[in-house]
Amino acid sequence: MLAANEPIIFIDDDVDDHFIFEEICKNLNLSNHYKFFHNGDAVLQYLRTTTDRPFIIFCDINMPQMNGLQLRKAINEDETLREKSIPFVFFSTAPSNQQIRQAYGLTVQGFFLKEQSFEETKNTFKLILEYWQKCKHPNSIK
Amino acid sequence: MKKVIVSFIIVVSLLSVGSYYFYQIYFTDFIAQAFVSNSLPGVVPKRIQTRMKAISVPLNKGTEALIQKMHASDISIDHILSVVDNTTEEQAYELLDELNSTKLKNTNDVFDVTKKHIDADFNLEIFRKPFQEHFKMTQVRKVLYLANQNRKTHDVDFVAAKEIIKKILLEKEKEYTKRRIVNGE
Repeated sequence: MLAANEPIIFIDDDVDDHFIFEEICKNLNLSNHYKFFHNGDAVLQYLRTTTDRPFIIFCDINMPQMNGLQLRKAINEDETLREKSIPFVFFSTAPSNQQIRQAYGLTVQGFFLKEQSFEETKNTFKLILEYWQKCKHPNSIK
Repeated sequence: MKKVIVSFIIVVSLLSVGSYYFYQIYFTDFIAQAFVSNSLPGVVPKRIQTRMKAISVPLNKGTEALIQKMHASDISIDHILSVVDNTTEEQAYELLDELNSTKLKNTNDVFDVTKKHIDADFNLEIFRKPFQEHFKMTQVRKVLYLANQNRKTHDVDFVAAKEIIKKILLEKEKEYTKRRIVNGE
């Protein structure tokens, strides 16, 4: 179970996807454990100033202003944020092969497709969360 | 005793008729108006409010585009309403099943599948372009999710859903006519 100060971070400019992820969180009893951001700039500001310990970041690739790849690069280049080692996973509708290659070049922890079916998306999401709950992480070391 | 039973039956019957009237007429009017005016009435259960909020924008934009295209193609509102009237619950669920089981790459695929399940006495192809222009796949995913949910919960039954759609179409037709009069067309 996630602690109150370990939010799941969603970054996506599409309100329809926010709705789907919100429903998934409700379905998985994670109603109070997520934060939505519409763009990379807003999430960078949050990550740099918050006392929360974000559990994982789910990020879209194509977004206006700062896209997902640029955000990942900005996190890598920020020493404090890099040390926080927040798992960073891309979720995209139709990524190009080049985007997938670029993403892994930035050492992401996964790249997943937004599935057409709600159930499929929910199952993928659940699988990722369970994996990272089992995984040892700087935040889980006492 | 007999009198009590008869009175009870009368009261129950009146309540049933009242509930039916409320649900099929008042409720559908209420929901259609809420969609068109983009305002969420507080008396509607939160679960339905969330769903209304989720589809309000694409539904309004979509029906506006449909009405415009309808006028440009010399199709009357009655033609469109009869398509809604003639669609059966079975057809709607067959459409939903096929949309659920097909790997939809884009809104063009969505239109292809939808067209197969709708009977119309005019060429539905005229709506392909506006459909592609006004709907994104993320919206399709959302609508599919909500339709699947409603199939389980029956929050809005099929007859009421058709009534709501028809009332929204009629409201949008009124808005369109009003705009044309104001613009002196």
